[in-house]
Formats: sequence, C-alpha cells, structure tokens
Amino acid sequence: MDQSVINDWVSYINDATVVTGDFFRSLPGSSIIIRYIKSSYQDDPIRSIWEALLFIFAVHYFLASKKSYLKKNYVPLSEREVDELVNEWEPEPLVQPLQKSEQWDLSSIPVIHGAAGVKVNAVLNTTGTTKPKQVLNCASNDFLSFANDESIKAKAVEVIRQYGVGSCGPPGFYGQQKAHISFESTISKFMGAQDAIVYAQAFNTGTSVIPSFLKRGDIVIADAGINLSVQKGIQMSRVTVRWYQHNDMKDLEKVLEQTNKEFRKRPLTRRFIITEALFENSGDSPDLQKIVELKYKYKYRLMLDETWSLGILGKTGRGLLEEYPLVSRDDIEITFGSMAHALGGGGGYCIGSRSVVKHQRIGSLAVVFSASMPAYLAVCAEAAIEELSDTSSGRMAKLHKNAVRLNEILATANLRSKNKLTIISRPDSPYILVKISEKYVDENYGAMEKKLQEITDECFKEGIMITRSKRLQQYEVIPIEHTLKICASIDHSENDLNFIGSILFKAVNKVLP
Amino acid sequence: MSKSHSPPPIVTSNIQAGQPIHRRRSSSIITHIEPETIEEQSDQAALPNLNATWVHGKGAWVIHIVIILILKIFYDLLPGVTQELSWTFTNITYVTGSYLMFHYVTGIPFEFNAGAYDSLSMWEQIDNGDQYTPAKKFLLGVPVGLFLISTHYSHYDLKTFVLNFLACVAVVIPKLPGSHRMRLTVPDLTPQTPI
Repeated sequence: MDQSVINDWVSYINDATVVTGDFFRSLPGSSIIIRYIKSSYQDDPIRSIWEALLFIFAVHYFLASKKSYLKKNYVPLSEREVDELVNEWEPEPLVQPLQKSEQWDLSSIPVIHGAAGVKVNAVLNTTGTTKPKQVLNCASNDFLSFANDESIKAKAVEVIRQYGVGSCGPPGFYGQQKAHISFESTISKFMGAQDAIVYAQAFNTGTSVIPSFLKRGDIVIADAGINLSVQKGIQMSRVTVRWYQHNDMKDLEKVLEQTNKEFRKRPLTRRFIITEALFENSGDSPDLQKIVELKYKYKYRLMLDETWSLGILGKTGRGLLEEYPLVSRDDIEITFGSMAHALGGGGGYCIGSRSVVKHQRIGSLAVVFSASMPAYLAVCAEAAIEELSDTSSGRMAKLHKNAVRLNEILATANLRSKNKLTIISRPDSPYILVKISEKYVDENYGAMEKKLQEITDECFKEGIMITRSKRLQQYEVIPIEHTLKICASIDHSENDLNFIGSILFKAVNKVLP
Repeated sequence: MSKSHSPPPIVTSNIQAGQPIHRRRSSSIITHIEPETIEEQSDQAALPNLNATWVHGKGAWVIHIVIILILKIFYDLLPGVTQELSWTFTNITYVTGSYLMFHYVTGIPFEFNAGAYDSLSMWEQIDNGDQYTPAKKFLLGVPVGLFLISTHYSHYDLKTFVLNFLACVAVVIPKLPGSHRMRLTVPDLTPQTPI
C-alpha cells in the first residue's frame, strides 16, 4: 500500500476523533462521564474491559424488544378471515335434545303423586301405565322417617313463618342465622367433635372440604370405591392421588409405604387418607381401627365421609365411630357428611377441631360463595339429632331390627332362587345394595342397567318401589357396580319386609330365568 | 372377586392432576420445568397473579432506589466501616435480598389457584414469563448500575471489585432469558424439586 494513502487515512481518523471529541465535550454532563472514565481506568485495562462489557450488555438488554412466550402460537387474522369465521359459526342449541339412553333413563324415574312416605302413589313410565298406583316405598333414604315426623314438620312450618324459605346470602354475608349456629353446636356435641360447620348442599360438602385443605403437591391415598362427590373433590383440589383397592388394608399399607418412599426426598406436604364410613357404591364399611393405626404409623391425616353412616350405623346413629370404641373422634382430623339422607333434611356438615372448622369459614368455596342452607332445614336436622340423642325414642333400635330382618329375608330368598343376586352391602345395614351374580353378568353397561330396570319394573307392578342405584357413569373414574338399592325403613312392618323379599325374587326369577 | 375389587384404572384423564411436572434428564444437573398443562394454565389464569403484578407499580420501582440509599446510610453509620466496605456491603445486601425474593423462593404466598405457580420463581411469574419487558429491564438495570457505582466509589480496590462483580453476576445470570425456567440440581445437596 502507498505511504501517502496511509497518511491520508491516519490524518482522517485523527480529524474525526478530534471533531467527535469536541462534539462530545460540548454535550451537557459530558465532563462527568469523562472524569468517570479517566478516574476509573486507573491503569487496569482488564478490569475496565469487564466493566465495559457489563455496560454494553446492559444497554443491549435495554434495547431488545419484548419477547412473549404466550403469543408464540398466535395467528394474526385479517379482517376478511375474521368475517368468514364469524359467518361460518353456527351456535349450538342451548339445550341438546335428549339421547335415546337419556330418554329411557328419564322415563325410568318413578313420579310420586302426593306426599312421600312408606306407601306412595306413583307412576313408573317404563312399566307402561300412566295411572298412579299405590306401592310400598323401599327406595327412600329417609330410613328413620324423620321427613314424615309430625313434630318436626310443625317445627319446620314455624321456622318458615319466622325466617322464610331462603337465607339469601352466604354465611359470611348475612346468611348465618341462629338456626345454623345452634345446629352446628348440636351436631358437634352429638358426634363428639370440637366444632362443626354447615354446608348448604350435601353433594357439594366433599367437593368443597377437600380442595379447601389440599392443593397441588399434597398427597391423597383414597379408597378406590369412594363416592363421586369425593372423587370430584380430589380432582378439583389437584392433589397427587394414589388409590388403594377397596377396603383392602394390606393394599393400603403397601400404597402408604410406596408413597412415603417415593416422596421421601421431596418437601413435606399435607398427606391424607380418604375413606367412607358406609360406602355409597358398595354399602360396606372399612376397618377403621386398622386405618387409624396405619395413619399414625405412616404419618398421615384421615378424612372420613360419613354421608351414609350418620343415623344408620352405630347403636345411637352416631356413625361408624360408635362401632370402634378404641377410635376417638380426635383420631379423624376431618369428618364430613350430609343431613339429606337419614336425617331426612338437606345440606351437609363438616366436623373436626376448632381450627379445621375455622379455616373453612373463610377458606372453603361452598361456604364463602354459596348462599347458606335455609333455616328450616337446619332446625329439622337439629330436631332429628335431638331425637336420635334421646335413646328412649327407640328409632335406631327399630331401624336396626328391620335392617337385619330384611337382610335375613333377602338372603334366604336369594338362596332359594339359586343365588341369582349377590348382596354386597353390610348384613346389618338398612341401605341394601344387590347386584346380579357373575353368571348373569353382561359386560355391556346398557344391557346390565336394562336388566336391573326390568326387575325394578316387575317389582313396581307387584306393588313395591325399589330403584337402580343411579350413577353418573361418564363422571366416575372408577368402574362401578350395577346395583339395585333396597332401603329398609322403620315404617316397614314385618309383613312388609316379607312382602319385599317374595316380590323381589319373583321378579328376579322372571327376568333371570 | 367382583369388578370393583380389581385394581382401579389409575391412569385416567383428569384424576392424574398433580403428577410430577418436573422431569429430570438422566445424569444432568440442569433441568427445565415442563410447560404447564391445560389444567395448570386454567388455574393460573383464574385470577390475576397478585404476587407478580405489583412490580409494575411506580412505588415498586422507587422502593429499590430508596432501599439502596437506606442501606448505604445504615452502613455509613456503622463505626469503622470505610467507603469501600460500605458500598460493597450495600451492593451485597441488595443483591442477596433480591436473589432470595426473585429467584430462590418459588410459588406464591396467597392461596387462590391450588398451587398452580408452585414451581415458578417470582421472576418467572412476572409478566407471565415474557422477556425484555419494562419491569424486567428495570430490575436487571438496578443491580448492574449499583455494581458500577459501588465499584467506582470503592476506588477499584481489587478485592472489593471481585466481590461486587461476582455478586452482580450471580443476580444477573438468573434474570437472563436463557435461564428462564431452568433449574440446577445437585443430587443429595439441593432438595428434590417439588412435585
């Protein structure tokens, strides 16, 4: 390269530097920056390079434009495309027409004309007639006949006159009435717990209690035969679930051991065992004593669903705990259940320690956001519990007598008809579930339900109202048994019970030859 | 044995919620948090994330400057603390605090979405994980600026320079888009990631 060209370049760069230098010095505040750079250099070029790099990085970061992860899959549409999509859209009907199976399901529900009780006038469309027929009611959950008790009815009328039929607000927002508070103290005393809280709706008790105590990362060990409400509660709480085989204590222990091993190095989170005192799906009870032992051994808490057992199990109707004298209410952290079954009212309850209940008052969705239960339901349920506490009334004794008797009658009749049915519920429970024996089992869901409905129809024609156990198959996560539900009530006489046995097996023999 | 006594189908669509979302690559100490499932996304979107939205407030920006000034005044008041040490302490205290707050603690202190944010640090929650947003630019600029100032006023003493520089880098690296949802796991040292 020519020497003169290089000289030209050098003088050009010099000039440019001088001009920019002058320009920079003319800027306001430039003297501070120059002083900073001069004093920061301090004969240490490496350190200055580090600082400069950091500074350049910061400037680069500031100048970068926003990068969104959420909009990565965002498809921009032109106005025309938007119009096209809008025109193409056809709204679905608000109410879908019923499918054939749904129509059949609907027509298989008996309609009662007049008041409910032990003898009712009812129409069952699947039997082919639309004339009301007097039948013996063996499908009611009102086992103790509280719904037909005259003194309780009178109390309800009185309370409706005073408070009306609705509470018009959640408990935290003017919905808490004297009747609720009084019921809470009654049921907590009756069940032997520190405190209680009342829920407006039975099914929503479990679905609200469980998510209020459990969240992602917590662990639930649940019985595989648990009812739908608890399943939904578990699902909504987003916990990690491990299932153990229905009422299998060995399997429970295995699952507890495996789970504890699996989560040993993870942060300690809440761990619960959830089971049901009287299973809605199978009518049996777990070995509570063993569960409590395992719970302490593996450091879990216990949640018990007493929906069906209150007013059914135990000498005085206090539920499963009454059968296990060694288990105290304090061994079960959370118990919830419903007043809509044996108490003949409506709504649900949750009992436990004071802190368990207090947490729910502001932490349980159904308590915070749902209008509380109508006052008269609380008063009726309270009256029912007072009646139960009064052992001289003899209701529980009568119920147990009828339950055992009906179970005996059904078992003998079943034996006579070559065990075409299998009774899967407890032999002392008035909530009797029977299923069709293996030999006649059809894997097809619809076919099994049809067979059970035929038995129900035959019984209805002969004057007995029983029912299929209605399940929401599409929501169940666990395969469910197809069962018939037969309920013993204290209003059934010995003749009635014999009648149920003979009619049921006449129908069974007809449907399952 | 009846039907319900056979083992239940444990792998069903919904009930599996809460399975480990955090899969570890074998023999690797670097893991990335898996993207959220639909269920988690809907839980996250249930309410505005109050744990992250406040960083956009004016006060939330000013408080950083105020805290730094208060720290500086506090260390100046301690007897025997030179200018060099005072700036270094200020820098390190601020950096430690902001590291704990933005990068160490995960989840949110309030409970309204069943723990849908449990595996994300606060930095990852800000702006729903978007990068180069104004709040993130500011929050990255503060430690860098504080480092440049503190090293300047500590007169480029080599020891304090190294300390300040390391502290600054420790808080800048987790803020980079490249470290988004990234976790370092040292077996037997760091606790296993929450499920």
